[in-house]
Amino acid sequence: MQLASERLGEVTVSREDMVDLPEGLPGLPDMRQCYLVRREADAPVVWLQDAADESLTVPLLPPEAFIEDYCPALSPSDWDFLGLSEATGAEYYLVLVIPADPAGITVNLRAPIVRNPETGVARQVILSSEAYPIRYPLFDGGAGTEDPHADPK
Amino acid sequence: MLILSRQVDESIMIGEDVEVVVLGIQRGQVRLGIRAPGDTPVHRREIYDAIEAENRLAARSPTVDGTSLARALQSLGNNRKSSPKS
Repeated sequence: MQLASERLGEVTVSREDMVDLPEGLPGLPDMRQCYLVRREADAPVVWLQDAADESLTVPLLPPEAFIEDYCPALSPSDWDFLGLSEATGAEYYLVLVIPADPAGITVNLRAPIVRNPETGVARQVILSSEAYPIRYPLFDGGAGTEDPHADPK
Repeated sequence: MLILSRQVDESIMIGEDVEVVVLGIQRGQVRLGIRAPGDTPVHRREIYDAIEAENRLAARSPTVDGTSLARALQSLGNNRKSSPKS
């Protein structure tokens, strides 16, 4: 189906791209029925486009695009809410903030959007662990964090 | 808003299974203990506020197609970092 987006123009999405957010997102409570939009030109960014409001678009990054083994523990109530099982697995997407100076780009590791790939049901989970920053700089120097694991493979 | 006075070691119950205990009061800070089922999310208010603010900022992000930022983002995949652990 076709979807209109102020930011992305006319995009084609399918049922498998649906993101059903029954609770909306914190700060964006109207984002409920959305679709994932992937475009070659700005891969690996994935866009979360609201189906009803073409001005509501949020950039996301799959964790595997920049980080290894991001697999935070979810609570039993998250598993229930999302209808997850060993068989369905879970998809994680991190909210990306692109400021005017792109060197300061950050991702939110503390509150991933977790999605059931079979049903599309999703929620933004707030992790209790303080180890995950809300504003994790993607590029070194962005917020001056030292990373001992940064040596190339 | 319901307003209650409590002393150290006294508590309040919220519903049947959430208990908030006043552990101590020191120099203008109150230490609280929260006993709640494992599936009840408990967060400092600032964490929730910060996540709301980040989401609203994210919704104002520009597209990155065809810019040097898109290339920089793609190159991140070649040099992935370790995830923080909980």
